Amino acid sequence: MNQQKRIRGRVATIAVAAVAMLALAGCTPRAAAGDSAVADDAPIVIGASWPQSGPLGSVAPGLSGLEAAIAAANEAGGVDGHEITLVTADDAYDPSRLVENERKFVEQDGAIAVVNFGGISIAGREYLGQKNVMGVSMAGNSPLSDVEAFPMQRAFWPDVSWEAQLQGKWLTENKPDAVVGYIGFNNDLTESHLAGLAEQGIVPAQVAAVAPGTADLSAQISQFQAAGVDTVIFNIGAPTGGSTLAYMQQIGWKPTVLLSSTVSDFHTVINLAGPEAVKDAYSFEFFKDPSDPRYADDEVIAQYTADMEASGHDADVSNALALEGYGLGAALIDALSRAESYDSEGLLTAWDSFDSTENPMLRDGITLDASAHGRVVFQYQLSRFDGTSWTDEGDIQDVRDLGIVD
Amino acid sequence: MSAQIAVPNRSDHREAVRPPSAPNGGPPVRPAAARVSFWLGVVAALLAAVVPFVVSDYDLFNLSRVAAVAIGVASLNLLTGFSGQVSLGQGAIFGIGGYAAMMSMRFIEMPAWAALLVAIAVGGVVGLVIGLPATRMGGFNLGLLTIVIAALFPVLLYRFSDFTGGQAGVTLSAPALPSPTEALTDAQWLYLVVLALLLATIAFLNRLVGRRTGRALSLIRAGRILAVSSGVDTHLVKLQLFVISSMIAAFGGAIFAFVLGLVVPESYPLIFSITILVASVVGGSRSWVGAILGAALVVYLPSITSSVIPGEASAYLAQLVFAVVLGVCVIVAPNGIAGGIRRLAIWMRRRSRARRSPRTAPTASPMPETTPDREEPR
Amino acid sequence: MTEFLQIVLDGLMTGVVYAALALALGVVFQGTGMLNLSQGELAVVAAYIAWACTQAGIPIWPAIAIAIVASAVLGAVIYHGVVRFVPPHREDSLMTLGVTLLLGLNAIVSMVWGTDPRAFPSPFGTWVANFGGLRLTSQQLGGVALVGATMLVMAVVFTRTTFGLRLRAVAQNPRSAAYLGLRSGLWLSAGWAAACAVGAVAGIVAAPTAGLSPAMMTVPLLMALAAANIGGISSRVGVVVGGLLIGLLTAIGGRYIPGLGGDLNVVFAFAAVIAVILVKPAGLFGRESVVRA
Repeated sequence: MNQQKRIRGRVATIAVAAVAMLALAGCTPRAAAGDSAVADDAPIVIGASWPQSGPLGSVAPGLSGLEAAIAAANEAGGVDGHEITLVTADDAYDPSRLVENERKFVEQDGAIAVVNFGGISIAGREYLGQKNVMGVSMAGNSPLSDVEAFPMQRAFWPDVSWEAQLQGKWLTENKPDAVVGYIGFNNDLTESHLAGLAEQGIVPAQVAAVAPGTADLSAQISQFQAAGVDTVIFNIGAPTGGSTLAYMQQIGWKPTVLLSSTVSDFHTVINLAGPEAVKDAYSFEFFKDPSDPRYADDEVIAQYTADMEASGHDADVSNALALEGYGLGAALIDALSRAESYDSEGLLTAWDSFDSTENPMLRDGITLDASAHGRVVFQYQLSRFDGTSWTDEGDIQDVRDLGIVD
Repeated sequence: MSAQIAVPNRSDHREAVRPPSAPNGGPPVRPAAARVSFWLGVVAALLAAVVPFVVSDYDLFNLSRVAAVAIGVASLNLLTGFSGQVSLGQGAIFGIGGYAAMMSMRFIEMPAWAALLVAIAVGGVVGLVIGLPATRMGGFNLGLLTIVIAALFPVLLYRFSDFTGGQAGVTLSAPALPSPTEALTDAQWLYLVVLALLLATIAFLNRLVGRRTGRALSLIRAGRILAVSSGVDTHLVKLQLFVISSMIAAFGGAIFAFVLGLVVPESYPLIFSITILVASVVGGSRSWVGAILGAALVVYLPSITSSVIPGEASAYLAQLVFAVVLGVCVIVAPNGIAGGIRRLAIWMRRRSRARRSPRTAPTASPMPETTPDREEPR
Repeated sequence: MTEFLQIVLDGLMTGVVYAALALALGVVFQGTGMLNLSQGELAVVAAYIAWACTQAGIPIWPAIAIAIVASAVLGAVIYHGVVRFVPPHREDSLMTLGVTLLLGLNAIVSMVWGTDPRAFPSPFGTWVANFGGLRLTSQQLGGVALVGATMLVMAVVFTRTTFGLRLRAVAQNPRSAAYLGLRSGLWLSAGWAAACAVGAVAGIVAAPTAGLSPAMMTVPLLMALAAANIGGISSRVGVVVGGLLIGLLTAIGGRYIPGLGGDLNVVFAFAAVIAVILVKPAGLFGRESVVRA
């Protein structure tokens, strides 16, 4: 007994030492927080917390694109002589790691802006607000449009509900008797999407809201068919969208298909489903897909490809998400080049004054514009997949002109 | 291998058949060494209390996260290490505690301490509901029931988004535990509070397993039939433990939510529940220090590996390193890091004693009989 | 009625993958007492190996054979290199080991093949069988045939061959088996090899439908765990029936129970599992073990 207690004493000693070492190793001393004002030729620091592993590891190419855009800008001399330092960290789509990364960027790296991929950037809004640091998120999630409550947070993609309204409007005009089926994830994106459709008087007869990772929707498709569905709206990422379209193709069921823009690219859906299965699908597009053969000779895409290869991201060139990350980087650089001061406030003001600004990510004729929502993209091009490529249908539509957004 | 297992069982039984109450009913006599370890604990706690005045707010945030997760891990240790029930759903109960606390602060405007009590109460109710079937199940079945709960929890959070806030979750407009004095920043104050709560939790758990419940538990672990024949109602004891464990998990989850400042469904995926189990096993499921070590490992290791390893695909290389480190821990230290340290301490002591009196030193290799089947509670 | 029957069929076809994976779980659990949470990821590895072989120009059927053999070898290596160091009664350590294997394999697959889902051509072609208003795709029919054949082979191996007999002897009572001169380590690695070969079939059957990606088997693994419970993990017939049942209940629950929809449809299946466990803890086909004090 006695011996056991003595052993425990040792355990405690070693454990205490271990804990203390763990706690203090790598910690930074207090009061080391630097001045966030940028000196004459000091680099401008931007932090990027991005899912590179975990449940959304497949969006990692977006970060490659962002890195390529920043590297290209630095190669060209930076912004007014200032180099841009992009500090990146993996958050594995875990909100607590996202907040940890943001705190590191702000408190230790002196970042003037923090970039994230998607939904979980909600977790960092409060903190960035307290620290007066600008946050930019790629996501289309509606809650990120709340600029009033979170004045430092901006979002890059358009709000998902706007596109839903365009789809609803198109259906009422072109297929008023459509029996609609909807396939999406079981989260807020679906809710926002359905709300947008309802705004235009479209209520799907069947809704399949499935958990991410579900791939076999044969039972749901049988249910859709039995209910007489003749139009299916997809707002679901890989692999579900692609595998479901492939299954529909195989059983010979050909309803009208509407794909949401962010899940209509080759990497997310077409490569998996096969081009035949996507033929004649419609989508309201705002960004280019580097995999689409129609951009084989596009100058902007050629520049993008060169920049990606120069920064060592050859593997991700064909991924649409990489181009979108590249577009986000280009937008940040454009804003910085117009900023009066190289801090959060200057960047935010410049970001809020996009005015018909061109961006390498956007379809021809579509531009970035500032708004009261903090969103910057409002124009869409209705497109139809002709079996090899997305082709334009009609003119570019602007949700501001259509009364969808004021 | 069987010989190694047979020997230490002896010590387990010695522990198990100890009479249910100390003679004279008074407190057991504590040898001097125990007092040493007690004071060591005090020194460690004091050291931890000094930390906030040395390191930055960013580090304090991470340390607070470790402490909050450690409470969750400790609650699982109570279940896994001390009553032999392996749960894969502790993360969900942790999350329920977080939601209960945040929602009662946000929507009913409760003070933080009351919200913590609400979290504990909700945790207790949930623990009872899950525990009633769970404690009647054996290992594999219990594993499934709890993994199902963990898998369904985020789905339910999305499904009832009007109530839970869906993807936006529940946030507070001000820190849950603001610093009461000018002298301390919010981060410093939060860290100190969380540290105190962690120590209080561990003190409570340590007392719990050291008393009658603890002895009933060691009987259950030694064998259900032995326990039943000794007059222990195994179902009741296990149910009690399950409920207490759930209450503490919910408590830890509430503190975690305060540290993070919000609750969102993405914080509680299935893999989070599994990570809690990993932390418990790798730290040492029969040791409270082990719970802290395990929590520190799962919070720090992913960030450290991904920041140390540069280049393309670094995130997955980091994940691989994380997996390998954990795997090596499980194999090398079957009783967790805490158990491994204990083994090391025994071995070092043997060696130093052997050097002092070479003639009486045992000739056998020092390792076999020092590999206990199960770590003793600390 | 046609819709009901079609949904029943769809559910059963989905359940085939669960059944194969559950069988792999059962073989490992019986042998080494490990609830192998990495079984799904091992199946993913198998599917990727088959895919990589087809990319290298090998026809699909030889590629599948290579993947199955490679999986069996991988299983034996994992047992021999990792699992055997953890004693069978340490349920929690074994489960944790499974988690680390899951994370490690997932990382390796993601690094080698990337995370983008890839199209995996069906080895059974792309025709559809229509009968009485119902339909089955070639992939569904072929999947049933392949899994069925695998189960048959396993049944024959386990009950009709000396190899299977020894395997079962070691799994059930390693000590007595040792007296018979059987080296338990060797036989347990053989058990792991067999389990991983079955798991490989699950992965290969799932891949054409689900699209090849590192997370392909996450949901099926959960379902396979449920299948092993409802059928009884100790029974090979039980886990297969359990897998089909889970697929069926999930499909029916999603369609006919209001409010469940496409994400909570699993609730119905899991509720059934829990009800069964409470009445019969060893599962529908499992045997209760008698413990002597």
